[in-house]
Amino acid sequence: MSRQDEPDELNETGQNGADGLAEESMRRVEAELASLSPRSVHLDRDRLMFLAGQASASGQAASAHRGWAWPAAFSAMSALAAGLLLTLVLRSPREVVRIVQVPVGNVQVVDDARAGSQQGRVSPSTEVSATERGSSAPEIAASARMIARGRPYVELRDRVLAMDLSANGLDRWPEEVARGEASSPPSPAAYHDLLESLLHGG
Amino acid sequence: MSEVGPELLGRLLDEHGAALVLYARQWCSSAEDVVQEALIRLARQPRVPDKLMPWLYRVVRNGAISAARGARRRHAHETAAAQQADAWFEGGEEVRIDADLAARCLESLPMEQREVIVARLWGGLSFQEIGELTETSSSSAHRWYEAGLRALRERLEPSCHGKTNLMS
Repeated sequence: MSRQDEPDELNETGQNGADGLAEESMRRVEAELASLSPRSVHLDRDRLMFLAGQASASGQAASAHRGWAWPAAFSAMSALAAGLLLTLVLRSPREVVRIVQVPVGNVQVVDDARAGSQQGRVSPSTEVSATERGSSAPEIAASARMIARGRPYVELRDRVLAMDLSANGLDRWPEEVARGEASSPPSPAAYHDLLESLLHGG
Repeated sequence: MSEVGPELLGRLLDEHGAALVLYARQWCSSAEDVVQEALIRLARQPRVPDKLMPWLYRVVRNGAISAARGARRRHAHETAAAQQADAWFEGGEEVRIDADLAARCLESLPMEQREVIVARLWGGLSFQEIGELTETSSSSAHRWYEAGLRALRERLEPSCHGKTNLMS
């Protein structure tokens, strides 16, 4: 060891010694501080226990309530959201075609009218009821069904003539003429006479 | 893990109540109310927390800081703290230091150093726990502790020697 190193060594020794003294001094202060006791607590123990018991009971009730309420609410909301999403996804984008079936309430009336004509004449009450209802569409539908069923032409003609088609610009066929034609088929002579009478304003 | 019962609360109050109150006094004057609220909050827990003492110190810390904010709003914190400063420690035969002077010196330290010293010396928490409590690292907590002790040594040593001489 050279002489030039001696001051450094001395300094290091001195530094270590100073550090050691400082450390020892700090530990002494630490021990002296630790010997102090914090001032005792002036808490009402009975009141503390009462409040703690109250808090414990309310905390247990709250935790029990939380135990099932939140999962149940979460599950319900999730199921609802999933259902709505499924409905939205599966909903058909095609245009909805609705077939509306109109109940035909006059079939019985028409049948009654046909029965009346078979008995000899169409009852006025039946005619009135058919016209009062003003529903020519069901009557036309009934006529169409008669055609489909292969009913005779004469019967169909009687039905059409019995209709009140004034609303469509057609005059009603005279009842006695209709009745006479229904009883006897027209002859070419009768048609000719009728045409002449119409042409000459008769 | 057991439930929080009156036996545990009583034991905590007897063994750690004073240290908790001293810890809360670093922020507010209503330290006992803060500790009581912390114990009531502990009773509300369904289970005892894993790290009970750090949990309790954290609750006390948050409560004390909140109470100090309220006190500052009422402009009464400084006056009340000054009135309470001489009541931090109890004297006794085995005490080798002036309690009132120690309290005043401790109060003059920066808040970080003071908190670490109280939590370490009287709360018995490790530096790791103090670091978690103060939301810093354990090395920072240790550094603050050493700096605080150094500052206290400079202020207390003459009086300590005097007291020691008087007592010896």
